[in-house]
Amino acid sequence: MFRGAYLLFLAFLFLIGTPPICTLQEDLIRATSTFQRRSLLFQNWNMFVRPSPVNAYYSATIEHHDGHVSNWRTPDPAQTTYWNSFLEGRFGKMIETSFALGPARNVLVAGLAKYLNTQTDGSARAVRVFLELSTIEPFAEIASHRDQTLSYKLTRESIGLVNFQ
Amino acid sequence: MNVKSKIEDHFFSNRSAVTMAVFRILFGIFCLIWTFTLLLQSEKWLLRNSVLSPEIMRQWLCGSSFPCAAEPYALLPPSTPDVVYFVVLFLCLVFSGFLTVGWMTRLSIVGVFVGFQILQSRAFLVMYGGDFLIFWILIYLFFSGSEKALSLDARGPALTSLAGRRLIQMQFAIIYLSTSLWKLQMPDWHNGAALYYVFHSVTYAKIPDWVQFRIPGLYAALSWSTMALEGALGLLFLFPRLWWAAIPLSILLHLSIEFTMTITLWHWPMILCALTLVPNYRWLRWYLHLRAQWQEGSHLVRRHLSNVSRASVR
Repeated sequence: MFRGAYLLFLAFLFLIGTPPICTLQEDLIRATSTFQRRSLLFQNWNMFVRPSPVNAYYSATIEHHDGHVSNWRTPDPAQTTYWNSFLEGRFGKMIETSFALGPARNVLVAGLAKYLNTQTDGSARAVRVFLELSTIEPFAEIASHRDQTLSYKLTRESIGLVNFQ
Repeated sequence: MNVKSKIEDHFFSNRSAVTMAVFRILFGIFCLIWTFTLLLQSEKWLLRNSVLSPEIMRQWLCGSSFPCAAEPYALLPPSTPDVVYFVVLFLCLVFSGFLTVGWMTRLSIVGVFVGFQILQSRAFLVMYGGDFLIFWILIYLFFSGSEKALSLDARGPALTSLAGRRLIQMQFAIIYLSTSLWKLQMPDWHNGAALYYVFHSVTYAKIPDWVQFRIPGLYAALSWSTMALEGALGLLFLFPRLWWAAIPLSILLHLSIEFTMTITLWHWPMILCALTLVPNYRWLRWYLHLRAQWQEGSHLVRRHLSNVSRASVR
């Protein structure tokens, strides 16, 4: 009894963990997706399957009460120490998740502004948050393989302003 | 030996618990480090004035419809004061410590599971696949009998069923197979451009631009070999006769990714899992070897000290 259940569980893991090849498997994944998401027991292993050709950063301009202005930008792991890149690595996930959520990402502005205000000991008068996008320039070998044409323009768009009194 | 008895032997026979005990100790240390790094980042991701305040998390995930399927079950309400998260972090450190030394092992596993659920459901949007993998490992560890050796709980013979250990190995076979099968379906992996984009991503790449050479074919070779290696590892994990190859390949793959990319702690549970393929007798042999070395070393030190003291008496 126990052994049968064990082997059935293994088969179930294989079915929900690997890419679907039949409708039964698709149905099973769909049926368990809410449970997986809510319990954090994911079986979704498509890491780096669609690498993004776009680099994104969040940046902010912080106006302080004494009039001076400072800037902040999401950390770049290549420009910091091993330990710091380890600690700041979750900003990468934040950017990735916010991209997947589309326009809903603008909700993040309030949280980021509040966090930056705390970091400056509450001295911020206003925080303006920007979304910066730049396309990873492909070299000739790779550009010839891609169907879509890429633009290399760097864009910087203001996505929100939060005032603190 | 027929298929049924082969399956019985592979999944359910009793073996020494040493390999799983070593895994438990290393995984306990991993949980300690995980909790400690989150403690250091608590003001970014956990507290009320963090980037992800509870209200922002809910709006971000659900828009105006509460509750929604996208939201994880939060074990603590959004109004929870910051101090509670510090208590949870502290308890996670304590239970991870207990897990490492094997004291009240199963209770510690449950404690770490619940604590990590609280923390991860709070900062769900910045958690990686590797963070969620911890939950599966904890479930398998609970049934692995790892407390029967090298622990304060150890009583009687250090024998346990292989069922828990095999679950961990199967889980990792699924991960490797799944990721390579997904990649096989994607054009960027076919044409070899995938790793070019990954290595030039400001979010994940650790290698500065000046190190990156534009050698034709380099990124294509790297992309294809990654895909092939992951697929091969998925299959190697399924066949015990090939485990001798799976262990170094898995460690090599994850160390190379660890030093070129930032994916927080993802690689360490993966490397630990490869260690569950090491046979029990190897650990015992290494232990005896180290003990012999230590005894020989301490014997030499003692002889040196006695020579020194004799010389000083003379």
